[in-house]
Amino acid sequence: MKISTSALFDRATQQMSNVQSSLAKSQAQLASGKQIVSPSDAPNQAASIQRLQSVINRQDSYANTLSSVKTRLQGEETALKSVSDLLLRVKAISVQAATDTLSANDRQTLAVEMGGLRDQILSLANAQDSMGNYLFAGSRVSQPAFAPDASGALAYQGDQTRMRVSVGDQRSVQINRAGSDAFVRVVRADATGAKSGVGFFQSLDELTAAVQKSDRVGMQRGIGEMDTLQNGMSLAMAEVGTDMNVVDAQTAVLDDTRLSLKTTMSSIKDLDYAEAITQMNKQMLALQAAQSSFGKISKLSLFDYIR
Amino acid sequence: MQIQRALVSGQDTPVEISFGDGGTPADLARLGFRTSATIKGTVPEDVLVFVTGSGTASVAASYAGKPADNAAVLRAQPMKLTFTAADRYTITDTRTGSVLAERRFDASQLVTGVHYRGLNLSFTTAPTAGDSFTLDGNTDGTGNNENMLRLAALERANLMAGKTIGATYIDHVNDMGNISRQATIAKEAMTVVHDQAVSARDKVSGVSLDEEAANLIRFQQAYQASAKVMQVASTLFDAVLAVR
Repeated sequence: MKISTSALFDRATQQMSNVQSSLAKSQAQLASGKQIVSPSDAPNQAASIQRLQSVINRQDSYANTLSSVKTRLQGEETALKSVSDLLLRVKAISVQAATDTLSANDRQTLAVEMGGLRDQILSLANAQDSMGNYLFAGSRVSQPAFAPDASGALAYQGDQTRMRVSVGDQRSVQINRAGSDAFVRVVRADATGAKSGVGFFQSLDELTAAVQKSDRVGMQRGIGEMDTLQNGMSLAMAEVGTDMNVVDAQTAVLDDTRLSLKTTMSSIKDLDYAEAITQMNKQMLALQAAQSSFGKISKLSLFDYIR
Repeated sequence: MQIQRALVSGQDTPVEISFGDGGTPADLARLGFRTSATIKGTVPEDVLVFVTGSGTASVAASYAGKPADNAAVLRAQPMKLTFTAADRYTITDTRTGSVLAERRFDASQLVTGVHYRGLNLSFTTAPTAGDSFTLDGNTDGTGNNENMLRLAALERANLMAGKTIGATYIDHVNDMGNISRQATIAKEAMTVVHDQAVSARDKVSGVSLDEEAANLIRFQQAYQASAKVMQVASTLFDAVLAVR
């Protein structure tokens, strides 16, 4: 078969450029560390990678949510725990005030301390998070949870919205507690047996006033009501504790899920360096052989001998 | 009065009481029965007018304008639900103070609740007299994350012809990758065809320098051979001409 000189040169350059382009591809794989540089390399695997990536991104955002939910719940827990401690102190003082041996003056001194404790409880009820949102105001986060209403009485100003956030594909957790659930009302029956609801702070204020005025009936009633207030607080703390447990359990689940997803993804996406480098060496050797053999073959010419 | 009816096993045997042409519901009331008109399920009509009494009557109704958005109307109308007794409640408009509804509350039902203009309130414990609930449009609940939850749920909603947005995007990438791959394979196949055609053409019309060089030498040598023949002939002629 006759090989024309131009065909000889054309074929040699073409073959060398083929080797060079596969060498460039190997180099791109090595530089990016990825098995698949563009979707056309392996369309089905590219789709799997995209799908895994989107699932992993979602799990990552759940993990971020979990960490901010935890911060929020810790804030609530701290506030409620402090209120609970303060309530215990209020109760201790009021029990002390109810003993007969104390004088009216002693009781007035105790009432001053109770007033101070009540103010501290109020400041905790109106606690804010790092964003300046009131923790216990339901969804009305921009206004204090407990503030004087139109009649001047301290009342709950928030709403009953219970906000939930997704912390997993099938899992959501409640992140807030309405102030009226933690700072509960007490039901008080009057002499005729008719019942009426009395707010948390109203009950505290009336107890303080009773201590100040040495009103024995008022003190006994107030001490009884303290148990209801304390119970409400304990219930709210238990709720926060349960939610914290859910957050911890879910964090562990998410970590496992993310690890297994990332392992799967790595097996598809990441480059096997040993294999890729071996492949590149092979290609380099082929290119060298092509170049040197072409150099030698192209020098051969009959004209060299007929000069 | 006695009504006797034989029971047939496995069959409904209703006792039906109706009034004749001249009868009125009052006749049944005398027997201790209540009569009422009920509609089973929902009806497509927006307005239903019930007319009572005898004689003829003509009723006309018309409707103009856009249908009111019930949610928007309720949102703009803060209401207060007050239990006046354990089994009675009133709903008042807190802006105008007018009583919107006054109803009986049946606490004996399995699922207790208040249903008013599409609003459903259910109670886990029975309400007592003096309980009141405020319902408003949640215009200042800036911490409410309901909308954000809905937005986040879009990620997993089947919005694009039964698929999620992400899945549709992945499908597009997959399609593009496939088309690109097909194009690459087609290019490789075409290159082979092209190369074969070029080499077939070159076999005929191409120039091989070695071949030309060989031809050159051949023709040169033929030329030299011819020249030698001529030289020999010339020598021979010279020899002949030299004979005297």
